[in-house]
Amino acid sequence: MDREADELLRQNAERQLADFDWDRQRQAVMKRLGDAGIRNARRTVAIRIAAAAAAVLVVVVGYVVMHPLDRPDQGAAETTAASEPAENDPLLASTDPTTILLTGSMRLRVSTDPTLAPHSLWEQ
Amino acid sequence: MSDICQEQDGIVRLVQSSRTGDRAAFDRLVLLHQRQAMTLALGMLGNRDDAAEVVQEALVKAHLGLRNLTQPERFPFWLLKIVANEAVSRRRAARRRRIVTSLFAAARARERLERSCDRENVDDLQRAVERAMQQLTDKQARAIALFGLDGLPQSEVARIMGCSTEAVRWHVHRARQKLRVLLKEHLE
Repeated sequence: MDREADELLRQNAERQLADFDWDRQRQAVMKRLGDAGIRNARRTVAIRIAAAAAAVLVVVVGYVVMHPLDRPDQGAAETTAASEPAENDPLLASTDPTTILLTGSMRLRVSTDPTLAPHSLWEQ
Repeated sequence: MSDICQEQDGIVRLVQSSRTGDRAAFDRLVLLHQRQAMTLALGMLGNRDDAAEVVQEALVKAHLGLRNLTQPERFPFWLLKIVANEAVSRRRAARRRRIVTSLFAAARARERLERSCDRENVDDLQRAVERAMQQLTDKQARAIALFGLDGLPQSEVARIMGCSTEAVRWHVHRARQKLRVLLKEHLE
């Protein structure tokens, strides 16, 4: 009496599994494993490519940071600018007070000469 | 006794080969154990389609977790444990679905209609067993399927369920009591 229920369950299972396609289930499992394998392989390749790209980027950035003055164009321009004499500068050579660079100390002088132009009041 | 040892050696070899990526070895493992796995899942769920999905899922999980299996000779029991866990998850999902559908009468009516169309050929016993298994607790269903259907010793069932043999005996006893009432028509 105690095992009647077990027997009924067993009968039901046997009946339902009588025409079950075992090969199809096995193939479905193996297919899923194959798909999962391909996905894993793709992920591994993508990770390796990303790691290699990151390493190259780090090397390039490191090189640029460590050697900033090695660029030939920038060095030449700086050298030219430093060696140019001050008298070649048209602004510095001008006598027109409106164009003279306001460098150094200045003093305001009162003049009694009526022939002097107003700009002559400035003395540098 | 020597047959059992040889069988265990064979399983250990197949598990080790499967771990190294040998698909044919795992295919052989599936061939050897899928019937037992299906019987367990079917016993717990009462429905062949659900059982087939559960076993498929369990086999994929088993393959992915082979590296974590410390005792390869225990592969059959380890696989049954995965199947039982998957079946419990499926039972819980089905219970949740039933709760939701019972809240929505229209959805329930629609489901009933779909069921009646899908299962025109399903016989009474199958339907009765499926309903009866839904009435058992997860532990009762697991215990009766492993012990009553798969025929494992109580000690092994206890190991798979993570409880004592006394608890297994109790769950089996309660499951049989309930099934006797629920399947009364078919037992007479």
